[in-house]
Amino acid sequence: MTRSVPTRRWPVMVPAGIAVAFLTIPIVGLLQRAAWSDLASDLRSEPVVDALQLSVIVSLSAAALTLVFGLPLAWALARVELRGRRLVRALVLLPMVLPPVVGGTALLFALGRRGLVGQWLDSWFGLTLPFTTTGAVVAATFVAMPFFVITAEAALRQLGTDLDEAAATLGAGPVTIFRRVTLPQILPSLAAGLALSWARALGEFGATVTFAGSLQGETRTLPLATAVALESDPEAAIAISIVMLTISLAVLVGLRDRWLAP
Amino acid sequence: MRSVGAVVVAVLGLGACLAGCSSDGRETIDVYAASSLTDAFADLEDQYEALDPDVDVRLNLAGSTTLVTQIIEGAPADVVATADEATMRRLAAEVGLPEPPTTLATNRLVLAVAPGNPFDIDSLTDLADTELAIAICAPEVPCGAATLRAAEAAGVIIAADTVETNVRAVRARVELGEADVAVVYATDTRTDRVDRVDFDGSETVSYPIAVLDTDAGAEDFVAFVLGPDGRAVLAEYGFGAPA
Repeated sequence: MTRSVPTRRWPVMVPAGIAVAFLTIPIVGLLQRAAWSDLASDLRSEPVVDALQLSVIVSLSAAALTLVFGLPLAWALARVELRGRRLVRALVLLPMVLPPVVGGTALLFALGRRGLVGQWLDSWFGLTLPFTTTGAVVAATFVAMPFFVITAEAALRQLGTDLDEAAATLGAGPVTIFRRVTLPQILPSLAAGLALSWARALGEFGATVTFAGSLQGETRTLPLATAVALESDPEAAIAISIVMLTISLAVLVGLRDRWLAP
Repeated sequence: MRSVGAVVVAVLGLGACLAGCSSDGRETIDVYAASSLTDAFADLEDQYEALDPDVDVRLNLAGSTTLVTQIIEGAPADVVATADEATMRRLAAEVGLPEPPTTLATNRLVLAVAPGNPFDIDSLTDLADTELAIAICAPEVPCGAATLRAAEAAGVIIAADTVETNVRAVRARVELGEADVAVVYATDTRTDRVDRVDFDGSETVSYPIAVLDTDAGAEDFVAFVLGPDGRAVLAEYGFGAPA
């Protein structure tokens, strides 16, 4: 005998409805203020095109760095018996809860011209990160990487090592095991974590403006361009916001079915 | 009978607080002021509240353009003081001012450099040097608009490395050693962490102040700020007297 779904769903649906409204009404507010007739020309202006290019480059670079360094870190946290692992995990996730401006200031004190490490980068290699696109990538990676690490680590933990061990007894080497046993199973979680990190990097403002500064064509990504535009021309700011909304929506919808569904 | 009396008292109490009340029943005056007025207005708030303990002056300090946007979108300011006249004019055009603004104080642009001026910067033309790390305000904010006018007047293209919307953040670049020079207001250089360098052709900028709500004690506060006590405080922080 099958049980039908209980019909009294309102204890769930009412708060859920409020949550949807809360999250979407500001977007509606934004869209209804947009000067749609000027949108095309606003979006073709040099500052916006430069900001868009920078945002794409910076967020994708941050996502790439996150993957290259974040996956081994997630692996180490999930699979390697390190002493003080909990402390390492807490430290590594700290940038996620730190206010972005604090994160940016911390980056300055570490990697700025007079920073702990930065001063040596400057005096030995003549390399300065603030005011450069690379600096913007560093800031974005700093705030975005923890999101990926936490997702990937959780996926690896949940997976367990049983199948890996079975494959090993059948003669597979570590690389083969990772490639053909582990990776295929955690791929949806990795994709979700990477998408989350990328989205965080795209929307990053506080750490970027504090550490890398704001200069059109060099460090002024879409969020920074929005803040500047808001000072004198709210319509331009709305136009830029719509660009960000569109990109984010396109990626989230595009990824959803193929990768994010378990 | 007693309950009627209680209701009457409550209604009268509310009526006395039509202009806005803080939780302890004092009359509130919401003052929106440009961030370069931060220190001066903090002092003015203390002095005014000492003179009239029934009043609570609440300061909202931010970039002038942000403040104006907030007011246009409905923020309940009683008094507004901006860092240039163009911003005040924009506000007047959008919401209409009950009375014309008055000039509160003047300021001027200067260069902020590291203590000791290690790069021997002495004029705006030095800022065309791409080797220097230079921080300036964005033209969208008053400080930046003045910087742009000065640069154009001097025929200089400033090789800026960062163009920001907050003059204190611009100053912080030099304080932290990330930038070699910044273009800021004279009043922003009253700190040990930067040295001030005046440059030729630096114009005077005027700060207008306006009352937005004639019901609040706003006019009294503005009169105080424009009076001799207010002038003294502003002068103490490096502001010039209105021309």
